[in-house]
Amino acid sequence: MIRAVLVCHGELSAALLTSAEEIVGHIPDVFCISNRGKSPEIVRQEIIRAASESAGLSGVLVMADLFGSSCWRCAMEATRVGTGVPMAVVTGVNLGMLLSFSQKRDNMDFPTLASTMAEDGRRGINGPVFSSEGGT
Amino acid sequence: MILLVRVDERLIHGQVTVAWRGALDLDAFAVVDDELAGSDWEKDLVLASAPEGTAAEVVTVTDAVRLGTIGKPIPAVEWSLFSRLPAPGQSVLRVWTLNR
Repeated sequence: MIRAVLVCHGELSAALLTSAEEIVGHIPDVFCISNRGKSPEIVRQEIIRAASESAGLSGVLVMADLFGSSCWRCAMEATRVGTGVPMAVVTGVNLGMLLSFSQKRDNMDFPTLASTMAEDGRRGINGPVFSSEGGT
Repeated sequence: MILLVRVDERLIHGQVTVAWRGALDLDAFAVVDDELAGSDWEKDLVLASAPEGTAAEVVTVTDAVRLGTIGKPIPAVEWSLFSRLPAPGQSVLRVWTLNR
């Protein structure tokens, strides 16, 4: 089993998971972490705890919302500490990325899934498509 | 010129790079932290948070004091300065001049 840990500002992690589950149903083994009101050290510890070894866990994909943010930095630092389980960090988590994770997690090995999530997240960004009034 | 000194263990992060940068027109960031300054890996991590078009450095407390007292920033740009939160009982000034 590959686990997802969402690390985002405010309520974004929980909102993303709730929204994804409205589309595909329950997504097991996804942890939501918010940085609201927490020091980086607390966030880092929460990530490490969520990414720690448990039976059958083959990898942990940490999805942070914003590259360069404290959420991302905490995730990166957690990879440095290590948990005994392979871990990868991707940023720019969006609904498309999470839905893709739910559909592909059982069909790919961990490194392939991590790369695919980054790619699927990028693929979800499209446009601009202008209205008939146009734009320049 | 130093426009903002902020003690914030999140270091360079959204509130600073978006809100404060816009309000004060900051174009460079200096993170003051001896531990970070001694680790290339951590330094790179922190510097990756600096927005495009800005300069950023991680400096030791000693260098920060020199910057503040002599008034000669490393590049010829304006600086904002950060440090981690002080330990309980430490004043911000102490963090700034003597310890992180």
